[in-house]
Amino acid sequence: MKILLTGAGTPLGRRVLLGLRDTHELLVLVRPGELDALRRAELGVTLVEADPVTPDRYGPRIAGAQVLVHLDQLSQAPDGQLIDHNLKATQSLLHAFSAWGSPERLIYLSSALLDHPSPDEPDVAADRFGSAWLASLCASEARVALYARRSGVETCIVRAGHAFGALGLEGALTSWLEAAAASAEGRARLDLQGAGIPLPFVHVDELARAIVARAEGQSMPGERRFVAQLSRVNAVGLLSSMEQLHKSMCELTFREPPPVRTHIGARLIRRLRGEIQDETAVPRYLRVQPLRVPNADWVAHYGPRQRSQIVDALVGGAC
Amino acid sequence: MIALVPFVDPARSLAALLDQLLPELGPGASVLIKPDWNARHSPRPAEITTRGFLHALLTWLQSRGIRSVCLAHSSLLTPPDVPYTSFMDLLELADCMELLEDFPHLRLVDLEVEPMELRGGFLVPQALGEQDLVINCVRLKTHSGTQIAVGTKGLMGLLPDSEALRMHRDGLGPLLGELGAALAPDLTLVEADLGMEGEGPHHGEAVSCGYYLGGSDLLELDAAAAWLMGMEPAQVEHIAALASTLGRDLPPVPQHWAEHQRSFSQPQGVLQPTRAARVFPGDSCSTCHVAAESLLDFVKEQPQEVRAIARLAKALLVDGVDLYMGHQPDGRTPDPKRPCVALGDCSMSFAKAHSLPHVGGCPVRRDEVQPALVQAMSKSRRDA
Repeated sequence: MKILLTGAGTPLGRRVLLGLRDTHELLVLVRPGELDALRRAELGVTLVEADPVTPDRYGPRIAGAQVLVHLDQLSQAPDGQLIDHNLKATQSLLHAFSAWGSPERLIYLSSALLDHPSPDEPDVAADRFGSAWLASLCASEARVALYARRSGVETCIVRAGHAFGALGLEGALTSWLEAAAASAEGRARLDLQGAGIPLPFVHVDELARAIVARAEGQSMPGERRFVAQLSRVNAVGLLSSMEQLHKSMCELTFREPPPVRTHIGARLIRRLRGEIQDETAVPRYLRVQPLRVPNADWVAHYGPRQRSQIVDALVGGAC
Repeated sequence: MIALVPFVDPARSLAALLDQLLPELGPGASVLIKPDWNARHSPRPAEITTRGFLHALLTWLQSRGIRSVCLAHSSLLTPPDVPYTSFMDLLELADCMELLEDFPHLRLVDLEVEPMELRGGFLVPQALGEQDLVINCVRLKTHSGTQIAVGTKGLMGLLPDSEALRMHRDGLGPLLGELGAALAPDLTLVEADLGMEGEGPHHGEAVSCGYYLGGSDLLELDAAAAWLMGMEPAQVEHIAALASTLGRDLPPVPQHWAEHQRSFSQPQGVLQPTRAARVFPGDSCSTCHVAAESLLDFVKEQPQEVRAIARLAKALLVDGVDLYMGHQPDGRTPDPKRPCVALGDCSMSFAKAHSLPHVGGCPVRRDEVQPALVQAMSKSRRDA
């Protein structure tokens, strides 16, 4: 399978790269100067070096890519870079993938913890959510969701929150994250007191394995192990906006009721009787997607949403 | 086929034009309308497709029983680190939100977020292929890079911003010819009650023309428009390129419309954004324009850089500075008495030929260009 990977220079991206390079034809898109010579040699794959916002320059080199694993995101940078990396690069990448690739599957890592905005309004102004970080991620995720709906490409939006256990976490969150990570690693979950909102955490190795498996069409195992309740969100100044977003997401989305668990023997008998149809490789929890009430015009034009086409993988949990 | 009707009011004139051009259009067709929305700020007269024109067009379509109509446009080109001027922004700038109330069946399609396909080597939204009829609405304007901005140039509003960037970078003339052949719309409508002459397509002056023009043949329409603007169609590079790509001769000029012909004043290719600064835009795209405009924000954003602000203010307001962007026409030489700076990869050869300080990149990033331009302007002033 021909897989296009972005964000290979990050701790998570390197792990995904190592998980895919031996079994698939891997194309790795890197920005000019993103990787030094040592790292290039270490990766041992063919790199497509180009500015992601210029699809005409790298599109022909990713021809035939069937799967896009898009992990290239920034969370702490000047506003301009956030818009460049998170939003415009994602949009151009989708253009290139749809035009030059042979799209079958799209894995998109989102740390926005957001529902998509209205389909008619994919670009959310920064002032609506109070920061270019959230706005750029939100708009980027919306564009991925729109692309999925319009193209019909099987798409998995991985809402992973913060990966811990890796070197390379930078900025003001570092010490806080490291302490949280140490706590989480000790007990395999983070369970701090007094939290108003859940902020998911996931070990980077777990997340990488899950993404590799998802790129290959398998399920993403073990997600709810890392659901976390945090009390120190205030300390990083995210509480107000995150809380609003969280409320917005929970109030405006719905979920299917959890499946009734039956004994494996009973399920086998029901399957043999033909009462249960063959299921796809995607487990039920991945096929549940939080959706807003659909826009009537949108539905009239594009038809009803096809729930099997987009999955939201809540790795690390939420809600 | 092309047609021209004198302008009376938008509804009557457009109905008369469309009755000639689409006599058999009936219910059941799906229609995509691409307006000419290219203004980033309050639009000047004759700069963009007006609400009245779109209202008249939608009314006519409604009278034909057509219910599947969408209004579509791509984002305007901006530097990668500047937010999109998105479809919704354009809708508001064009003051067209009311159309959604008057025509509740009207759908909005942001072409920038559509999946793309390759058509004739161009990245094109797949949505275009899903419509029975694509209507390209444009204005009658001069253009500093392509001489005229009418039917073929208007097609760039259908493309994603990266594709618009590529066309400016690789040469608008030949690529517009290829674009016109690859993306020929079913119908092009020219709103020419007013036209724009001089420093079009954004900084020109409105002139009265008094007609609506339309046609299904893009080459014929653009050639007629150029002739109506007082130009020789064969001298307009992208019209000649379109004819060459299509393997056709240039159509004869419509002599029977001679009464509507008027000579548009041509762009001088120089803008004066401040008292002493001059910009030579060439065929540059908006990434360079928006990035260069960020110089004016330098004072607000870097108030601690007192010395740099003083030098910049002196250059822009007193000493003067010339900024060259895009590919410059043959024969242009920088004024040796004035400090000069070149911006963007398109102007690299010009900068090398004349040993000008050069700030490269394509696309340029605003946050990189701003300090580099400040530095380059200071240096060029010293050199001069």
